[in-house]
Amino acid sequence: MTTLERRCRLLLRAYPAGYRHDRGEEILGTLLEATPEGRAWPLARDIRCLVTGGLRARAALNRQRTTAANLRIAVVAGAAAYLAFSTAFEVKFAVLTLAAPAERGLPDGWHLLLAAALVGLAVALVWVGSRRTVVLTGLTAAAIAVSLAGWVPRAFHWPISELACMVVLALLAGRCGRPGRAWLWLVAIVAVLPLATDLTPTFWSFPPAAWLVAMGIASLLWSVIDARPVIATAVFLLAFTLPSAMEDAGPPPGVLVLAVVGAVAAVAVWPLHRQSARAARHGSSS
Amino acid sequence: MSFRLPMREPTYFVLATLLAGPLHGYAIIKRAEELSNGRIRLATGTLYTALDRLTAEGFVHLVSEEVVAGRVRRSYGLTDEGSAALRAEAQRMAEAARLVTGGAAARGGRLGRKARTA
Repeated sequence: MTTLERRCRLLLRAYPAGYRHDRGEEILGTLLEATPEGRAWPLARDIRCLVTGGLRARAALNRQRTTAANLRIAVVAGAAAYLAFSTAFEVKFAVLTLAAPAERGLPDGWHLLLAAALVGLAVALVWVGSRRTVVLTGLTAAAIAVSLAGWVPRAFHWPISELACMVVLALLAGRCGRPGRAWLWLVAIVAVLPLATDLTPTFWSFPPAAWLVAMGIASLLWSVIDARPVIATAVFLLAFTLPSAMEDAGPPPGVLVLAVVGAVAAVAVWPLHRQSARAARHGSSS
Repeated sequence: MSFRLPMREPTYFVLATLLAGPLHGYAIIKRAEELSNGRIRLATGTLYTALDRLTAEGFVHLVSEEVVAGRVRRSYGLTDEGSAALRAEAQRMAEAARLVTGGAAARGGRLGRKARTA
């Protein structure tokens, strides 16, 4: 494979995976023919149009679904992302517990791992399983977690956010089609956040707020093409902030964050509505 | 199949290239450049966005598919609806051009001069 072809393939990643599967090789062939001999990159206008064409193709995918279906996908993805984040944190905690159980006096790390694994499985089943399997796995995980919470409420608690996210998955997963595989990036990114304190300098206190802010800004920018990530991120942040907002006594920063994030999510429904099926029926032109 | 006028220029030239018969992607790009005396240089992304839209609207259809150098090469042809849309657009542009270059413009010019001198 030449350098040019490798770079063309990289640019084609702007298109959704399904589109690339159908048209990728054909577009690649045309692109290679249209690029003058000796160049390592396609022409600037080809690069620009490939990227914008890819983004348009991604936006067109949304227009195959109604606003409600797109909204359900965004909420499910946000809830799944939060559960993945929570699961990663619990796994880290369980591993620490297993490493030094006597010193810490914490519950059996294997139980923690089992509960975390079941939650992780429920999240994975959103992409590969049926709604029934998501519900069954989530219920089992919740039962184990609640029993653990009874043992040591402060060491391992399943606060309201995890339960709320699991209820969201149980109610909505499978009702709107499965979220696309691209959503797994969001889940993967938030799942590594609990490890960020181990991998980054110590002045980054947990949670690494810079990551969350970057995620929020990126999803806001992406909302021009697809408003679902901003809604999913808002759901994640709502779940993230809810426990601290409930614990705050005075004028709570947590409640303020909840209000701002909630408002952003509510506003993002409008571009989502425009990007969904109803807008497409009136928006095409030659 | 319904369509809207005016048609965008790249769309017009993509359809015009297919008047003589089916062509594959790169041939459409070259032919559009020839027909427009070098003015329309379709980018690859633009071409396939246009082909997707025109196929969905029923103006263009897939004619053949072959494998060249290990890659799929598809040829596209004009449908009857596409041909009708192209001719309607050409007619619209011809009428618009006659306003400026034809008899109406000349008569308008004389009337305007008379009005100014009166």
